[in-house]
Amino acid sequence: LSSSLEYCPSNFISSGINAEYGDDDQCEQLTAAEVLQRLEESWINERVSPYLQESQQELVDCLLEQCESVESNFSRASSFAVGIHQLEIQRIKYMSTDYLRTRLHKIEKHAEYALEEQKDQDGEEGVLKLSPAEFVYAREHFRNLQLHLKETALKHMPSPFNNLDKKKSITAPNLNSFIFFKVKEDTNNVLIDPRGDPVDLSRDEIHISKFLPIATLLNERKINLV
Amino acid sequence: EEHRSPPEQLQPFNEDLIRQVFAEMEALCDANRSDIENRADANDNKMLPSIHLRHSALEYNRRCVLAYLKSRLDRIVRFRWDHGAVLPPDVQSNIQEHEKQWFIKYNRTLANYMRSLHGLDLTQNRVPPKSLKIQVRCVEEYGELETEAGEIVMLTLNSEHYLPLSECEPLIRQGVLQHMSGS
Repeated sequence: LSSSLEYCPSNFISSGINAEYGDDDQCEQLTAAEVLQRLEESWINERVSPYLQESQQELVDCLLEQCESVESNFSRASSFAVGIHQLEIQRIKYMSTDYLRTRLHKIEKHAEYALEEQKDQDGEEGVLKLSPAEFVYAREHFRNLQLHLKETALKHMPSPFNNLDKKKSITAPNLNSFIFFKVKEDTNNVLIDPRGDPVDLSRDEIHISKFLPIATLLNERKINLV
Repeated sequence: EEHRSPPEQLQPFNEDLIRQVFAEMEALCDANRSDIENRADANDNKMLPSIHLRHSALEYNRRCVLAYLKSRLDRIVRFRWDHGAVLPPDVQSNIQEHEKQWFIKYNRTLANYMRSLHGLDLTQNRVPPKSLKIQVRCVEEYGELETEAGEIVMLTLNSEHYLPLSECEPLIRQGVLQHMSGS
Protein backbone atom coordinates (compact mmCIF):
# COMPACT_ATOMS: atom_id res chain seq x y z
CA LEU A 1 0.00 0.00 0.00
CA SER A 2 2.76 2.48 0.85
CA SER A 3 4.34 2.03 -2.57
CA SER A 4 1.05 2.72 -4.30
CA LEU A 5 0.77 6.00 -2.44
CA GLU A 6 4.28 7.07 -3.34
CA TYR A 7 3.43 8.62 -6.67
CA CYS A 8 0.59 10.64 -5.20
CA PRO A 9 2.67 13.54 -3.85
CA SER A 10 4.36 14.10 -7.21
CA ASN A 11 0.98 14.31 -8.92
CA PHE A 12 -0.26 16.90 -6.50
CA ILE A 13 2.94 18.89 -6.73
CA SER A 14 2.73 18.94 -10.52
CA SER A 15 -0.75 20.40 -10.34
CA GLY A 16 0.75 23.15 -8.21
CA ILE A 17 -1.58 23.14 -5.24
CA ASN A 18 -0.52 24.77 -2.02
CA ALA A 19 -2.43 23.85 1.08
CA GLU A 20 -2.85 26.03 4.12
CA TYR A 21 -2.80 23.99 7.27
CA GLY A 22 -4.14 26.03 10.17
CA ASP A 23 -3.02 25.21 13.68
CA ASP A 24 -4.63 27.47 16.27
CA ASP A 25 -2.75 30.77 16.20
CA GLN A 26 -0.05 29.79 13.76
CA CYS A 27 -0.82 29.03 10.16
CA GLU A 28 1.62 26.57 8.72
CA GLN A 29 2.07 26.70 4.98
CA LEU A 30 2.45 23.15 3.83
CA THR A 31 2.29 21.73 0.36
CA ALA A 32 -0.45 19.21 -0.24
CA ALA A 33 2.26 16.57 -0.46
CA GLU A 34 3.39 17.29 3.09
CA VAL A 35 -0.19 17.24 4.36
CA LEU A 36 -0.61 13.84 2.75
CA GLN A 37 2.62 12.60 4.30
CA ARG A 38 1.54 13.76 7.74
CA LEU A 39 -1.86 12.14 7.41
CA GLU A 40 -0.25 8.88 6.33
CA GLU A 41 1.97 8.91 9.42
CA SER A 42 -0.96 9.77 11.68
CA TRP A 43 -3.00 7.02 10.07
CA ILE A 44 -0.37 4.33 10.72
CA ASN A 45 0.14 5.63 14.27
CA GLU A 46 -3.59 5.50 14.91
CA ARG A 47 -3.96 1.95 13.59
CA VAL A 48 -1.15 0.58 15.70
CA SER A 49 -1.57 2.46 18.96
CA PRO A 50 -3.91 1.03 21.61
CA TYR A 51 -5.53 4.35 22.27
CA LEU A 52 -6.62 7.53 20.52
CA GLN A 53 -3.97 9.95 19.36
CA GLU A 54 -4.37 13.68 18.85
CA SER A 55 -7.10 14.44 16.36
CA GLN A 56 -5.75 15.41 12.95
CA GLN A 57 -9.13 16.52 11.67
CA GLU A 58 -7.63 19.58 9.97
CA LEU A 59 -5.39 17.38 7.81
CA VAL A 60 -8.39 15.32 6.70
CA ASP A 61 -10.50 18.39 5.96
CA CYS A 62 -7.67 20.00 4.04
CA LEU A 63 -7.07 16.93 1.89
CA LEU A 64 -10.74 16.47 1.13
CA GLU A 65 -10.97 20.09 0.00
CA GLN A 66 -8.01 19.52 -2.29
CA CYS A 67 -9.74 16.47 -3.72
CA GLU A 68 -12.85 18.50 -4.44
CA SER A 69 -10.88 21.22 -6.23
CA VAL A 70 -9.02 18.62 -8.31
CA GLU A 71 -12.30 16.99 -9.24
CA SER A 72 -13.71 20.31 -10.37
CA ASN A 73 -10.79 20.65 -12.81
CA PHE A 74 -11.51 17.35 -14.49
CA SER A 75 -13.21 18.86 -17.53
CA ARG A 76 -9.95 20.58 -18.54
CA ALA A 77 -7.75 17.49 -18.31
CA SER A 78 -7.31 14.63 -20.76
CA SER A 79 -9.16 11.42 -19.97
CA PHE A 80 -5.92 9.60 -19.13
CA ALA A 81 -4.95 12.21 -16.56
CA VAL A 82 -8.49 12.14 -15.19
CA GLY A 83 -8.18 8.40 -14.61
CA ILE A 84 -4.93 8.76 -12.69
CA HIS A 85 -6.25 11.63 -10.61
CA GLN A 86 -9.42 9.70 -9.84
CA LEU A 87 -7.42 6.75 -8.59
CA GLU A 88 -5.31 9.07 -6.45
CA ILE A 89 -8.43 10.61 -4.99
CA GLN A 90 -9.84 7.15 -4.24
CA ARG A 91 -6.68 6.26 -2.38
CA ILE A 92 -6.75 9.47 -0.37
CA LYS A 93 -10.40 8.87 0.45
CA TYR A 94 -9.58 5.33 1.54
CA MET A 95 -6.84 6.58 3.85
CA SER A 96 -9.07 9.29 5.33
CA THR A 97 -12.03 6.99 5.89
CA ASP A 98 -9.85 4.28 7.42
CA TYR A 99 -8.24 6.85 9.73
CA LEU A 100 -11.60 8.19 10.87
CA ARG A 101 -13.07 4.69 11.13
CA THR A 102 -10.21 3.49 13.35
CA ARG A 103 -10.73 6.50 15.60
CA LEU A 104 -14.48 5.92 15.73
CA HIS A 105 -14.09 2.28 16.72
CA LYS A 106 -11.70 3.25 19.49
CA ILE A 107 -14.19 5.88 20.68
CA GLU A 108 -17.01 3.33 20.72
CA LYS A 109 -14.89 0.90 22.68
CA HIS A 110 -13.59 3.39 25.22
CA ALA A 111 -16.25 6.11 25.20
CA GLU A 112 -16.39 6.65 28.92
CA TYR A 113 -12.60 6.73 29.31
CA ALA A 114 -12.23 9.29 26.50
CA LEU A 115 -14.95 11.53 27.92
CA GLU A 116 -13.41 11.45 31.40
CA GLU A 117 -10.00 12.30 29.98
CA GLN A 118 -11.42 15.21 28.01
CA LYS A 119 -13.24 16.49 31.08
CA ASP A 120 -10.02 16.41 33.13
CA GLN A 121 -8.26 18.49 30.54
CA ASP A 122 -10.93 21.13 30.14
CA GLY A 123 -9.54 24.56 30.89
CA GLU A 124 -5.95 23.37 30.84
CA GLU A 125 -3.47 23.80 28.06
CA GLY A 126 -3.72 20.11 27.32
CA VAL A 127 -4.04 18.46 23.94
CA LEU A 128 -7.61 17.56 23.06
CA LYS A 129 -7.83 14.06 21.65
CA LEU A 130 -11.40 14.29 20.42
CA SER A 131 -12.49 16.68 17.70
CA PRO A 132 -15.76 18.54 18.48
CA ALA A 133 -17.83 16.18 16.31
CA GLU A 134 -16.16 13.15 17.87
CA PHE A 135 -16.87 14.50 21.36
CA VAL A 136 -20.55 14.82 20.54
CA TYR A 137 -20.52 11.30 19.09
CA ALA A 138 -18.81 9.84 22.17
CA ARG A 139 -21.25 11.54 24.52
CA GLU A 140 -24.34 10.45 22.56
CA HIS A 141 -23.08 6.92 22.14
CA PHE A 142 -22.30 6.54 25.82
CA ARG A 143 -25.65 8.01 26.84
CA ASN A 144 -27.53 5.64 24.52
CA LEU A 145 -25.63 2.69 25.93
CA GLN A 146 -26.32 3.67 29.52
CA LEU A 147 -30.01 4.18 28.82
CA HIS A 148 -30.32 0.86 27.03
CA LEU A 149 -28.59 -1.11 29.80
CA LYS A 150 -30.70 0.63 32.39
CA GLU A 151 -33.96 -0.06 30.61
CA THR A 152 -33.33 -3.68 29.79
CA ALA A 153 -31.44 -4.90 32.82
CA LEU A 154 -30.46 -2.59 35.60
CA LYS A 155 -33.99 -1.39 36.23
CA HIS A 156 -35.03 -4.94 37.09
CA MET A 157 -32.19 -5.64 39.46
CA PRO A 158 -32.43 -5.03 43.18
CA SER A 159 -30.30 -2.21 44.51
CA PRO A 160 -27.37 -1.70 45.06
CA PHE A 161 -26.80 -3.51 41.78
CA ASN A 162 -28.90 -1.26 39.62
CA ASN A 163 -26.30 1.42 39.04
CA LEU A 164 -23.61 1.45 36.44
CA ASP A 165 -20.66 1.80 38.76
CA LYS A 166 -18.13 4.01 37.03
CA LYS A 167 -15.05 2.41 38.48
CA LYS A 168 -16.12 -1.04 37.38
CA SER A 169 -17.69 -0.27 34.05
CA ILE A 170 -15.01 1.87 32.40
CA THR A 171 -13.20 -0.16 29.74
CA ALA A 172 -9.83 1.48 29.80
CA PRO A 173 -7.49 0.84 26.88
CA ASN A 174 -4.45 -1.29 27.56
CA LEU A 175 -1.76 1.36 27.61
CA ASN A 176 0.89 -1.17 28.47
CA SER A 177 0.69 -3.16 25.26
CA PHE A 178 3.93 -3.51 23.34
CA ILE A 179 4.47 -1.76 20.05
CA PHE A 180 7.30 -1.22 17.60
CA PHE A 181 8.42 2.25 16.80
CA LYS A 182 10.95 3.94 14.53
CA VAL A 183 12.89 6.99 15.63
CA LYS A 184 12.56 10.12 13.52
CA GLU A 185 14.91 12.46 15.34
CA ASP A 186 17.88 11.94 17.60
CA THR A 187 16.73 12.10 21.19
CA ASN A 188 18.89 11.71 24.24
CA ASN A 189 18.17 10.47 27.71
CA VAL A 190 14.84 8.84 27.13
CA LEU A 191 13.50 6.68 29.92
CA ILE A 192 11.93 3.73 28.12
CA ASP A 193 12.13 1.17 30.89
CA PRO A 194 11.40 2.65 34.33
CA ARG A 195 13.58 0.02 35.95
CA GLY A 196 16.50 0.69 33.65
CA ASP A 197 18.60 3.65 32.61
CA PRO A 198 17.75 6.38 30.15
CA VAL A 199 18.85 5.51 26.63
CA ASP A 200 19.86 7.55 23.65
CA LEU A 201 17.78 7.09 20.53
CA SER A 202 19.29 7.82 17.15
CA ARG A 203 17.48 8.42 13.91
CA ASP A 204 16.11 5.49 11.92
CA GLU A 205 16.51 2.96 14.71
CA ILE A 206 13.63 0.56 15.36
CA HIS A 207 12.74 -0.40 18.93
CA ILE A 208 9.99 -2.18 20.83
CA SER A 209 8.54 -0.89 24.05
CA LYS A 210 5.40 -0.57 26.12
CA PHE A 211 3.13 2.15 24.88
CA LEU A 212 2.94 4.33 27.97
CA PRO A 213 6.58 5.49 28.28
CA ILE A 214 6.80 6.54 24.64
CA ALA A 215 3.40 8.20 24.41
CA THR A 216 4.89 11.67 24.98
CA LEU A 217 7.53 11.08 22.30
CA LEU A 218 4.76 10.17 19.91
CA ASN A 219 2.90 13.39 20.69
CA GLU A 220 6.04 15.40 20.01
CA ARG A 221 6.36 13.65 16.64
CA LYS A 222 9.84 12.38 17.46
CA ILE A 223 8.90 8.78 16.69
CA ASN A 224 6.62 6.90 14.34
CA LEU A 225 4.84 3.67 15.09
CA VAL A 226 5.35 0.76 12.72
CA GLU B 1 -24.99 -18.84 25.24
CA GLU B 2 -24.42 -15.94 22.95
CA HIS B 3 -20.74 -16.75 22.38
CA ARG B 4 -21.56 -20.14 20.92
CA SER B 5 -23.48 -18.79 17.95
CA PRO B 6 -21.54 -17.64 14.86
CA PRO B 7 -20.86 -13.91 14.67
CA GLU B 8 -22.95 -13.30 11.56
CA GLN B 9 -26.20 -14.23 13.21
CA LEU B 10 -28.23 -12.83 16.02
CA GLN B 11 -30.14 -15.25 18.19
CA PRO B 12 -33.60 -14.25 19.38
CA PHE B 13 -33.50 -12.30 22.59
CA ASN B 14 -33.78 -14.77 25.41
CA GLU B 15 -36.43 -12.92 27.41
CA ASP B 16 -37.33 -15.87 29.65
CA LEU B 17 -33.79 -16.59 30.71
CA ILE B 18 -33.20 -12.97 31.56
CA ARG B 19 -36.37 -12.83 33.59
CA GLN B 20 -35.34 -15.94 35.49
CA VAL B 21 -32.00 -14.34 36.28
CA PHE B 22 -33.72 -11.23 37.61
CA ALA B 23 -36.05 -13.32 39.77
CA GLU B 24 -33.09 -15.24 41.15
CA MET B 25 -31.28 -12.02 41.95
CA GLU B 26 -34.32 -10.68 43.73
CA ALA B 27 -34.57 -13.85 45.83
CA LEU B 28 -30.89 -13.80 46.73
CA CYS B 29 -31.04 -10.18 47.73
CA ASP B 30 -34.10 -10.72 49.93
CA ALA B 31 -32.43 -13.67 51.63
CA ASN B 32 -29.36 -11.57 52.31
CA ARG B 33 -31.41 -8.74 53.73
CA SER B 34 -33.36 -10.97 56.03
CA ASP B 35 -30.16 -12.57 57.26
CA ILE B 36 -28.69 -9.19 58.07
CA GLU B 37 -31.82 -8.06 59.88
CA ASN B 38 -32.20 -11.23 61.88
CA ARG B 39 -28.76 -11.14 63.36
CA ALA B 40 -28.73 -11.59 67.10
CA ASP B 41 -26.44 -8.60 67.53
CA ALA B 42 -23.94 -6.54 65.56
CA ASN B 43 -21.14 -9.00 66.22
CA ASP B 44 -22.95 -12.12 65.13
CA ASN B 45 -21.02 -13.22 62.06
CA LYS B 46 -22.41 -16.73 61.68
CA MET B 47 -24.27 -15.94 58.47
CA LEU B 48 -21.37 -14.01 56.95
CA PRO B 49 -20.13 -16.76 54.58
CA SER B 50 -23.59 -17.33 53.14
CA ILE B 51 -24.12 -13.59 52.75
CA HIS B 52 -20.81 -13.33 50.93
CA LEU B 53 -21.75 -16.23 48.70
CA ARG B 54 -25.07 -14.70 47.77
CA HIS B 55 -23.40 -11.35 47.15
CA SER B 56 -20.87 -12.93 44.79
CA ALA B 57 -23.67 -14.75 43.00
CA LEU B 58 -25.52 -11.47 42.59
CA GLU B 59 -22.41 -9.73 41.20
CA TYR B 60 -21.81 -12.64 38.84
CA ASN B 61 -25.37 -12.58 37.54
CA ARG B 62 -25.18 -8.84 37.00
CA ARG B 63 -21.93 -9.11 35.04
CA CYS B 64 -23.29 -11.92 32.89
CA VAL B 65 -26.47 -10.09 32.01
CA LEU B 66 -24.61 -6.88 31.13
CA ALA B 67 -22.06 -8.81 29.06
CA TYR B 68 -24.84 -10.62 27.19
CA LEU B 69 -26.59 -7.36 26.37
CA LYS B 70 -23.35 -5.65 25.35
CA SER B 71 -22.30 -8.49 23.05
CA ARG B 72 -25.69 -8.37 21.31
CA LEU B 73 -25.28 -4.63 20.80
CA ASP B 74 -21.80 -5.19 19.35
CA ARG B 75 -23.22 -7.65 16.86
CA ILE B 76 -25.94 -5.24 15.82
CA VAL B 77 -23.28 -2.57 15.28
CA ARG B 78 -21.35 -4.97 13.06
CA PHE B 79 -24.48 -5.54 10.96
CA ARG B 80 -24.92 -1.79 10.61
CA TRP B 81 -21.38 -1.35 9.28
CA ASP B 82 -21.65 -4.28 6.88
CA HIS B 83 -25.18 -3.98 5.57
CA GLY B 84 -26.21 -0.38 6.05
CA ALA B 85 -28.97 1.28 7.99
CA VAL B 86 -31.65 -1.25 7.06
CA LEU B 87 -31.07 -4.60 8.74
CA PRO B 88 -31.74 -7.87 6.89
CA PRO B 89 -35.10 -9.41 7.83
CA ASP B 90 -33.67 -12.40 9.69
CA VAL B 91 -31.83 -10.08 12.03
CA GLN B 92 -34.86 -7.83 12.42
CA SER B 93 -37.02 -10.69 13.63
CA ASN B 94 -34.53 -11.52 16.39
CA ILE B 95 -34.13 -8.01 17.73
CA GLN B 96 -35.90 -7.02 20.89
CA GLU B 97 -37.90 -3.79 21.14
CA HIS B 98 -35.37 -1.92 23.31
CA GLU B 99 -32.56 -2.93 20.98
CA LYS B 100 -34.53 -1.56 18.07
CA GLN B 101 -34.81 1.79 19.85
CA TRP B 102 -31.11 1.75 20.62
CA PHE B 103 -30.31 0.96 16.99
CA ILE B 104 -32.38 3.91 15.76
CA LYS B 105 -30.49 6.20 18.12
CA TYR B 106 -27.15 4.72 17.06
CA ASN B 107 -28.00 5.34 13.40
CA ARG B 108 -28.90 8.91 14.20
CA THR B 109 -25.65 9.53 16.11
CA LEU B 110 -23.58 7.99 13.31
CA ALA B 111 -25.40 9.99 10.61
CA ASN B 112 -24.85 13.23 12.55
CA TYR B 113 -21.15 12.50 12.80
CA MET B 114 -20.76 11.59 9.14
CA ARG B 115 -22.60 14.73 8.12
CA SER B 116 -19.82 16.79 9.69
CA LEU B 117 -17.26 15.11 7.42
CA HIS B 118 -17.90 16.76 4.02
CA GLY B 119 -20.20 13.91 3.11
CA LEU B 120 -17.60 11.19 3.56
CA ASP B 121 -19.37 7.88 4.14
CA LEU B 122 -17.31 5.91 6.64
CA THR B 123 -18.94 2.59 5.81
CA GLN B 124 -17.54 2.69 2.27
CA ASN B 125 -13.93 2.38 1.13
CA ARG B 126 -13.11 -0.63 3.28
CA VAL B 127 -10.34 -2.00 1.10
CA PRO B 128 -7.41 -0.13 -0.45
CA PRO B 129 -8.33 0.50 -4.07
CA LYS B 130 -6.08 -1.23 -6.60
CA SER B 131 -7.77 0.08 -9.70
CA LEU B 132 -10.66 2.29 -10.66
CA LYS B 133 -12.88 -0.37 -12.19
CA ILE B 134 -13.16 -4.08 -11.48
CA GLN B 135 -14.58 -7.10 -13.20
CA VAL B 136 -17.49 -8.58 -11.26
CA ARG B 137 -19.97 -11.39 -11.70
CA CYS B 138 -23.49 -11.23 -10.39
CA VAL B 139 -24.30 -14.16 -8.11
CA GLU B 140 -27.77 -13.08 -7.05
CA GLU B 141 -30.66 -11.56 -8.92
CA TYR B 142 -30.57 -7.87 -8.15
CA GLY B 143 -32.30 -6.08 -10.97
CA GLU B 144 -31.37 -2.63 -12.18
CA LEU B 145 -28.48 -0.64 -10.80
CA GLU B 146 -28.06 3.02 -11.61
CA THR B 147 -24.42 4.10 -11.49
CA GLU B 148 -23.18 7.56 -10.52
CA ALA B 149 -22.56 8.33 -14.17
CA GLY B 150 -26.25 7.76 -14.86
CA GLU B 151 -25.93 4.47 -16.72
CA ILE B 152 -28.38 1.72 -15.93
CA VAL B 153 -26.85 -1.73 -15.55
CA MET B 154 -28.99 -4.85 -15.45
CA LEU B 155 -27.70 -7.26 -12.79
CA THR B 156 -29.03 -10.67 -13.72
CA LEU B 157 -27.70 -14.00 -12.47
CA ASN B 158 -24.22 -14.85 -13.79
CA SER B 159 -23.91 -11.68 -15.84
CA GLU B 160 -20.44 -10.11 -15.87
CA HIS B 161 -19.73 -6.41 -15.70
CA TYR B 162 -16.84 -3.99 -15.60
CA LEU B 163 -17.89 -1.40 -13.05
CA PRO B 164 -16.30 1.28 -10.85
CA LEU B 165 -15.06 0.05 -7.51
CA SER B 166 -17.16 2.48 -5.48
CA GLU B 167 -20.37 1.08 -6.95
CA CYS B 168 -19.38 -2.55 -6.50
CA GLU B 169 -18.02 -2.44 -2.99
CA PRO B 170 -21.29 -2.40 -1.02
CA LEU B 171 -22.81 -5.00 -3.34
CA ILE B 172 -19.81 -7.30 -2.92
CA ARG B 173 -20.18 -7.01 0.85
CA GLN B 174 -23.86 -7.89 0.65
CA GLY B 175 -23.06 -10.91 -1.49
CA VAL B 176 -24.79 -9.76 -4.67
CA LEU B 177 -21.62 -9.39 -6.75
CA GLN B 178 -18.43 -11.40 -6.77
CA HIS B 179 -15.05 -9.96 -7.68
CA MET B 180 -13.42 -11.87 -10.53
CA SER B 181 -9.66 -11.99 -10.16
CA GLY B 182 -7.32 -12.44 -13.10
CA SER B 183 -7.87 -11.38 -16.74
